[in-house]
Amino acid sequence: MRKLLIIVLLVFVTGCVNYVELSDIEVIENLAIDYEDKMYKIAVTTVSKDKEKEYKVKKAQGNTLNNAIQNLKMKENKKIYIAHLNLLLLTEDVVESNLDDVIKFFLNNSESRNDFDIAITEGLDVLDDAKDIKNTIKIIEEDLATTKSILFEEFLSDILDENPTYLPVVLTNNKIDGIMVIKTFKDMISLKEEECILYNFMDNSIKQTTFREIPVLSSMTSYNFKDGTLNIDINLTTSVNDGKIEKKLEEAIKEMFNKYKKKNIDIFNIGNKICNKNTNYCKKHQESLLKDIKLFIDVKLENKTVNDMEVNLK
Amino acid sequence: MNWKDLKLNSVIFLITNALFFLIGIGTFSKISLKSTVISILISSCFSYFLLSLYLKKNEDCKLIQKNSIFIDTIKCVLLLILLNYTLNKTSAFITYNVVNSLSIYLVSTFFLIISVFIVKKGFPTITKSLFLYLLLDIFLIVITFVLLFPKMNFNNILPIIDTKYENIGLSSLIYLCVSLTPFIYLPLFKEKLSQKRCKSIRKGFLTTHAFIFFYTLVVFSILGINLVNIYPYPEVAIFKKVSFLNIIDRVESIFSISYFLSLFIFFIISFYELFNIIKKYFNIKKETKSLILLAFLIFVSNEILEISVSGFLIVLSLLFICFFITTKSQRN
Repeated sequence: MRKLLIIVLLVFVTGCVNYVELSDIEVIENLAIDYEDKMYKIAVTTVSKDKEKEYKVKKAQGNTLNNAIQNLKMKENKKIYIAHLNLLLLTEDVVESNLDDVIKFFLNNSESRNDFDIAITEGLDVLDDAKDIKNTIKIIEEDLATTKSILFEEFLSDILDENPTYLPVVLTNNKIDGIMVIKTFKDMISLKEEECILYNFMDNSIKQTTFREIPVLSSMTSYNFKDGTLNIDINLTTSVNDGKIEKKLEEAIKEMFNKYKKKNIDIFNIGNKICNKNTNYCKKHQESLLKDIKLFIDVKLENKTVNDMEVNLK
Repeated sequence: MNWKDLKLNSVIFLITNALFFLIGIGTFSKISLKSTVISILISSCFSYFLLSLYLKKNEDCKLIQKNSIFIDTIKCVLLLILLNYTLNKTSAFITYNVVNSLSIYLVSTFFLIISVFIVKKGFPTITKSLFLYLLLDIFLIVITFVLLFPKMNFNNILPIIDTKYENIGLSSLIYLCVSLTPFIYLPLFKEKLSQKRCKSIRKGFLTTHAFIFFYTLVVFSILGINLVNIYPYPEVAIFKKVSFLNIIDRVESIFSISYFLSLFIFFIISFYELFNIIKKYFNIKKETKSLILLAFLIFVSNEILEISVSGFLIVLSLLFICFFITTKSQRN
């Protein structure tokens, strides 16, 4: 009897309970979500084992996000696997009205790893001609700094913190257009190219860029908060010195900050930086933090001319 | 540290871990926000002080449980509720994180079958396997710390005091419950609390709480307060971030074994304690059948009772009071 029981139990402990053939799984790489006429519309691109096979976008819809995924599963007759998701694209309609549902969908899905990038798009058609949007965003971020990639978890953390959050904007034909700033779900602002660069300067996330036709090779931004004034030190390395870049950058940052300050938007997320440095000040000035902030920007330039580079090479 | 002390400390370590997981970092963070780390530190120091007092008082004594039908009946009910809560949470944890296509009832059934088998073997067999579990547990935790260290962002835990002092106090009180409950299982060892043993218990206690403190620090600094509050299992969510040169990746199922083992040990020891109390009053001849019946009772109670975290904390506190009433120290 005991041996029989052990044999019966062994059948159940083979670890094959969740086993699905690889050919029966659709591994989703990019997922785009739109909300129109009270229906969720989704478009996905999948990882294909056959590389020569034509790149294909699969679409489905449903009254809930789960339903839409279920319909896709029925259509393809395969298990939908989202653990390998690379990029999530949301249309403005989804962000405005149904962001809660999207967040809940990913949090309740135990397969989801939440380490994918997130971006805003104008429609589901973007997936038709874009094979590797995530990579394109990364390249533009690193070479031009005119956009900024963000992970779903970072985005979630910003939203829950009620901080403005920044999403790259993906257009059709694999074009990336700056950053969309989401202050609240129904309050979105699109940043122009130069504004994106300025934001990246303040966020200390510039690898290299071109600011007003001057190539910037590297940048380092540090913050220091003292006596109600936020001192921002930006150390730039450029290959050309026109003698004015420091002033131009200082003025541009101040101008941008004041422009959005009038709209009651802390565009550089400075409030958060101050709160991390000085909690007491933050608590005292909670209501008027943005109004009371005094910015002092100091741009220091290290000029690497062609001669310097040659010397370095030698 | 001799073999017996090691077994004793393994029980303290695994049960404390299990209790911490059963209550959940999320519960602490919702009360004391980023100050959870501080509240754990305060509570650990205070419970160490209480433990030292208790051990000093009972040094060179043997802890013996008195027979009292009334208290033992209450203890049985409390242990049954405790087992029901643990089974529920463990099955839900396994279903969510490891085998999400499997029914929660099937997971509970297997869990109970294995528990019946181990409890029947007796306490010495349970404690023999404990050390191996402890080694595996520590190995997994150390790897987690090492691989996750570069991903820690200490800005996420700043400002360290961001809530009212009452909330920090409440959180510390809950943690006090977690840190002192493992000692209700001390009489099971039937060992004399010699000076050397007391010293080793203190060391084990400090190591356990140092682990939990660092673990909380890692979770908060990696996820941040918002994600800790929103994730169903923030303790496991950080395992998803374990990555080494893109070779060791997606290992959350393996790493969550450490939690599963702690929960399993806690369940088995509580089950054994319950069976022990019942055995005192009933003349049980066929142990297997009685254990199966008891397991069935736990399984059925799982359907009837729905206990919240606060209910679980009340059960733990009452069990602790019962332990104090029924335990007496005997000096040789």
